[in-house]
Amino acid sequence: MKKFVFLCAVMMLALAAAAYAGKIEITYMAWYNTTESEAADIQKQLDKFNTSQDKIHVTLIAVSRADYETKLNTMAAAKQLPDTCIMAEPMTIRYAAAGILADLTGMYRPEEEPLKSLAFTYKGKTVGYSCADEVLLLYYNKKMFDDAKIAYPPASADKAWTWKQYVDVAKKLTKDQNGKTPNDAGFDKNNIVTYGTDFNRLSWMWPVLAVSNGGGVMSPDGQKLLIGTPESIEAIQAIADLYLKDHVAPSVGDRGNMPSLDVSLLTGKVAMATSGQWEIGVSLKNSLKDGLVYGVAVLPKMKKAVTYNTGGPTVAFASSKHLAEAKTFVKWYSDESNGWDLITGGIWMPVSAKWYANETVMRKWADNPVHPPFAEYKTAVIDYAMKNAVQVPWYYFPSYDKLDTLINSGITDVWNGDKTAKDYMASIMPQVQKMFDENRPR
Amino acid sequence: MKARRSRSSTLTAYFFLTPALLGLLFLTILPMFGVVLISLTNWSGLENPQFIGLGNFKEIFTEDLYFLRSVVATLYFALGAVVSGIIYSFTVALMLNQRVLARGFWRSVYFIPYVVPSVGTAIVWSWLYESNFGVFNYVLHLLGANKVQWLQSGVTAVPSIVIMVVWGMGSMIVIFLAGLQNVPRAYLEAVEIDGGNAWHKFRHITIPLMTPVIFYNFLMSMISNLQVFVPAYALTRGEPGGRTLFMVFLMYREGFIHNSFGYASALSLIFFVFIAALTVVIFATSRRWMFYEGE
Amino acid sequence: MKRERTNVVVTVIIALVGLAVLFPFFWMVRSSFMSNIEIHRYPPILLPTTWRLENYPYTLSVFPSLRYMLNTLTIALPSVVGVLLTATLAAYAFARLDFPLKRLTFILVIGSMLMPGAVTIIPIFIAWSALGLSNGYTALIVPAFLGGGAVNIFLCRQFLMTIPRDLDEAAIIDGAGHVRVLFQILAPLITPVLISIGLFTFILYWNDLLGPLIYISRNEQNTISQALANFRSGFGTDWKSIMAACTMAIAPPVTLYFVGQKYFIEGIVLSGLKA
Repeated sequence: MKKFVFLCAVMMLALAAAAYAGKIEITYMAWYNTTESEAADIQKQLDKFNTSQDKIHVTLIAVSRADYETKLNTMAAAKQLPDTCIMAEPMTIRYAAAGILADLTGMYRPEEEPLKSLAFTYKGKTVGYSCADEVLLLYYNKKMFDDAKIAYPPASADKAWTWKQYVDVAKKLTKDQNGKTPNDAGFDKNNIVTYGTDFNRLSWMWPVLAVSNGGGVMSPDGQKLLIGTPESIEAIQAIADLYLKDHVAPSVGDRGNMPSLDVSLLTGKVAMATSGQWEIGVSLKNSLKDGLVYGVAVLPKMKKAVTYNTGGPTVAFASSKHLAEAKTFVKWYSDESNGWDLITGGIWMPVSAKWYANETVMRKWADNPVHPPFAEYKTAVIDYAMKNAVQVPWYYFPSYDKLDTLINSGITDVWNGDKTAKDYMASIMPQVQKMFDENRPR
Repeated sequence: MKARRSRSSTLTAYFFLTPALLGLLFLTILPMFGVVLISLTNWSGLENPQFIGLGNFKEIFTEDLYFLRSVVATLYFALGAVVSGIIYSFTVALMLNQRVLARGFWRSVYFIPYVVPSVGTAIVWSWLYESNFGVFNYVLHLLGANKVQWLQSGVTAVPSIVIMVVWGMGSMIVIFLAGLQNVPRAYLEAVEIDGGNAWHKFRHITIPLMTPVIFYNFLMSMISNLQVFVPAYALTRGEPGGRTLFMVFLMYREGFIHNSFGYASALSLIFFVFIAALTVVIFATSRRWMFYEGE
Repeated sequence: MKRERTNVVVTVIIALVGLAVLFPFFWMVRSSFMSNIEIHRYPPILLPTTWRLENYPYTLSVFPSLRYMLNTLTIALPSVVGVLLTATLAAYAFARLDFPLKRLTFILVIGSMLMPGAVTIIPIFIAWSALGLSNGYTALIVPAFLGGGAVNIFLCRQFLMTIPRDLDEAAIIDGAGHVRVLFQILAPLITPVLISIGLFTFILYWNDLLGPLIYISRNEQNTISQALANFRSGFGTDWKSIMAACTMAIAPPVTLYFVGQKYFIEGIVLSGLKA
């Protein structure tokens, strides 16, 4: 009898060991922006995955955002890539072109597939979907508009301001230390206390205005370079002139020293500013308790109302020894219910169409104290994202990071007024064209 | 009495030298070959390398936007830092060499910045240079001047970094001070007896005797400061407009972030040749203005 | 004709400039005890209205300085050992032994002093990758054991050459081998220069940024310089914490200086005056 019990125990132990050993180990690499403590939030998501099933165990490799590209590249060179990761957008398609990313085409059933606008593609294959939908928006301090008795910026694309309307409003809201606006005599442009607006000059963000003017960085098929067209140049100059001629925006140096968006709006450093949807959850919600009342609007337009959409993709690496499990994890990760807090928290927007189907489901994730009033949010953000968004070219262009660095390599001269946009573009176009032609997806 | 050359002595010597020789081989000689080899490819680190001959070099010298800017930025910075650094260190050393109260204490004060991690220096100074809240602009404001965009304006970006780096050159002060204290008193007194004043002492005794020290420090400081990296990585990333796009930072960025190992290696090779040439030039011209005690 | 009086003018100048040199430290420490709002006050205030000691525990909770410093120690200490060991061995060979090709090897080693290290980072990285060791501390520690730097070899050699050979000879006559002569007889005598080299090497590794950037992937293995650089670049910089983190990062090297002041100064003098 004892022997029998003993044998049973051994068998059970063996089975347990086998079951445990049967757990496939995969790794997921992700970044944290500043501090390691952010990694704890990602770990919570992974814990959810690990406990929700017992076949796969995923371990987090947390890397600082500043280091991220280097880490990926050194791991790639050493052939020690993780199984999955969230990819830095600008280099994604370069990796795809090198054949390092796994093909995720057909991984989803049609009804669960993320939006097409969120697919990173190369040669017809999808290599990743953004983990969230993000669009560029115009944020503004409602109190400042109330005090100046100016109508709020429009919350729907069909009413989008023209550039002139935008600048006019910004001028009325810009104040120097004596309370004068650029429209008043004696306006002191060296001592501006409140800037009417800031149009984000981050390297990949500002081209959205060029797109609005009929230009942009490149055509959506990645075959035609548009950054040197007159329309694009006009847009660049317009942004620079916000600081140089209209005196409504900070210099790019001052902008770099400004605190986070919520503090900038709250303290009246700036009345309007453009940035991504994520600001709602990453920054703006932090100042709600201090009395920040902000609104969200569509971007001003030049010829057509348009915004950029983006979002870091979750990818699986072709070198993974457990590709099937890696894909399972990637699929799980894109399910909104697994990142629900990030969505209701205003950091992410859902990736699949079903959460945009009607107002009822929209309210489920967008109608809460963290988000702006739903009516405003629905038209200014959701409809805007669904109807007026175009992809940042890194969804399909290999080595967008190199192109982006090149285009922006001396653009501070334009922002600071040392060069006109026209001259600057003329000086770099040969190299830009060459780099574009070398890297075009074929 | 010379050491006897014996078999055991030779074996021991080679045994003792093995680590250093291995280092020479694996950290200097072989990697140099590696640099040359990789620079002839378009290796991305992601796929297998392809031989492209002198393609990288052709691009760098004829079409590239970054190379020229980087050379200018790096040279401007290195020359500025080394020359200012030597002037600053020498002046402070001269002063410390006088009868100063609590000299040892002050010597420590001037030296301490040297042990600070350069990242820490960069961070603290970036706040001092901050155009809206920084102390430097506040002082300017008190003096009635306009605020300066220290690290963001094209004109002041490199000088700002130079000032920051010179602040950290505490070791040079100590070296010069020791050198000054090594100037034989007899020579200085001889000048006095001949009716010379402090300036004569300085010009005819101190400076000539210090030239070897100045030379050595000029050379080593040049080599070191040409390889400047931290201010570019931690502060400016090459902004504004490439004026702080220092060469080592460019090599790092193109190689490790943009996956262009071939191109970055080509840069490394050019950089190396340049430094080697500079070293030779400095050595060659040193005969003209260096002075050894024996002469 | 000696002047006993202190030179007042120069003392005053030295003191004023010296205070200016200390100012960045003061500003850093003072900021580390303020709130972010106070830091952003303009005109800036000299001292915090209340000294917020809680900034430090808070900073430690988001920026585990201690772990980063420990990581850095894990690299720096073995490296110091490696440098001291291999540099001394090489220096002894050059100072005390005669062997074929001595001049040539010496010139090669000294020549490598002029070699700019940044030039070879790429092939060295590729080599470590091929060996599978490009992620971790190995690549950062091993070079210390491969000769420890030409400057250090040279310094050691110079110092060794100032010691008369009588002690060596006596020991050899007594039957001691070279290893014994070096480690038992000479090493104690060159301790000052060894301490100096050790201190400088330690500072070098504490400050190194490029190496960790390339070879350390996991954030929990970051060195203090690397972590500081990353901390600074996040969105919406939290200045009080950054200043506190800086203060903590600077404290060890500064303390080390005060403890080993004599050796620092001597070491610098030795290396700088060798010309």
